[in-house]
Amino acid sequence: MANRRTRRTITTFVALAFISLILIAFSGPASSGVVGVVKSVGSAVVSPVVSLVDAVTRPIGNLFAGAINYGAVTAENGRLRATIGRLEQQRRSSSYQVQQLKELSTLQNVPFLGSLKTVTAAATSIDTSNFASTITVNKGTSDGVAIGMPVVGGGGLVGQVIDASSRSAIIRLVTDGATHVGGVFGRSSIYGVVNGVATGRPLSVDFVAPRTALRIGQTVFTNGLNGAEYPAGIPIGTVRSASTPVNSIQMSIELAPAADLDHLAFVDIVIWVPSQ
Amino acid sequence: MTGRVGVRLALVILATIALQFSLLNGIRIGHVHPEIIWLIPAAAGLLAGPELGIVIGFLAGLWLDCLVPTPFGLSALVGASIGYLAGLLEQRGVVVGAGQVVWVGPGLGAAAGLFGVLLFGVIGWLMGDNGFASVDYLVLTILELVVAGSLMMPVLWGVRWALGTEGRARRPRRRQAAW
Repeated sequence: MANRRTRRTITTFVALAFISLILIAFSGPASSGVVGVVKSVGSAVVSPVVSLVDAVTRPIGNLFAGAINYGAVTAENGRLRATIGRLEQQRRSSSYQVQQLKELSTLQNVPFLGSLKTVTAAATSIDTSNFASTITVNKGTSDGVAIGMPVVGGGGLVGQVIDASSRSAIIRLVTDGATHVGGVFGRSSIYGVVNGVATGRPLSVDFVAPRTALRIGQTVFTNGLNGAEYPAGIPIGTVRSASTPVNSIQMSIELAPAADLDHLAFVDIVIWVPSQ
Repeated sequence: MTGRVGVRLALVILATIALQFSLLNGIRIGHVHPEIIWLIPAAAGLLAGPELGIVIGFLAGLWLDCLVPTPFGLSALVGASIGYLAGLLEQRGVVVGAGQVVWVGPGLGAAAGLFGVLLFGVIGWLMGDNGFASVDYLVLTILELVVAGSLMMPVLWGVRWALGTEGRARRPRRRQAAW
């Protein structure tokens, strides 16, 4: 009797584990087909409840966040006070709304995008999982957003759209471990592949020949080579360290992301899809 | 599992996910936050045995998969594994709740939370995503031990309420166990 129950338990586990593996293997990052429908339904059920609970618990969360990050909050407070002082000295009277409008205007005219059209979106949530660097924004397919489109803001490349519903989209940040971008160092002909590592970690660069002459602070741009996933000329990051380990066939390079990924309130989704 | 039990379980899972995505996702230290969804299969396994633990863990994980950008099915696999292991503990006579040693529930909750994030990371890394290996596991471990340990008892109460008689029906057999 107990043996039969044990066998049934193991069968159930093996069957569900097998289904999970099938789902993992056959569902890409983008929501499509049955998985897309399931994800939409699951998300639609949860969203209103999350909003409600969020409204109730936000003050508690803010209290925790403030207590945990007390040092950072104090330091930021100091910087803000200094900024306020400077602003007062300069007798600038721009209000918060005017400042925000300027930021948005700047985004609308990002110089490195040339004539490419963009859709400005506001970030609604950041890093829903510990294991993926993503943000969710409030623009989706109804605004012309599609999977694969590059996203810029805050000084450079932010990431790429990996999922889009009618009114929202998920953007994988350049720092995510699954991000790989073809890059070029400044105006040189030194090419490499920039890889994300994890949230808060510097980017790494592969395929740069040993002892290549690079300088700290040099900017790496998207190379836009044929078939690239990003248009050319978007700043990805700046060189933080570069060295050639002994017996290595490539350099070990770290980049600081060009975009300020810790303060992403607004981003620009570039209406551009990779050529096939 | 009756329809009423299913609805109550869905409510408990929904409440846990809502708490995760509102309050807990905001508690960030070093770019990581605590995860409590793994407490659901742990509680289900400990209260109702491995079979229900596996099924409930799978469903709770699948629901979470709908909301996160990680591979679809990964949370379901981890949830089913935790439900199975917690159910094995139940079969060996581990009892949580009123009248038991006070640290058993929180201790198992902390262990389940920690096991969940570590298993998730290992499977993700085995799938070839190096980002899973670069997460700040030290901070995540501390967060899981504190937060999952603290919230295990409320989750246990919720799952016990949801399971109703299905959870309680096993109680006499467990009391006779040697552990």
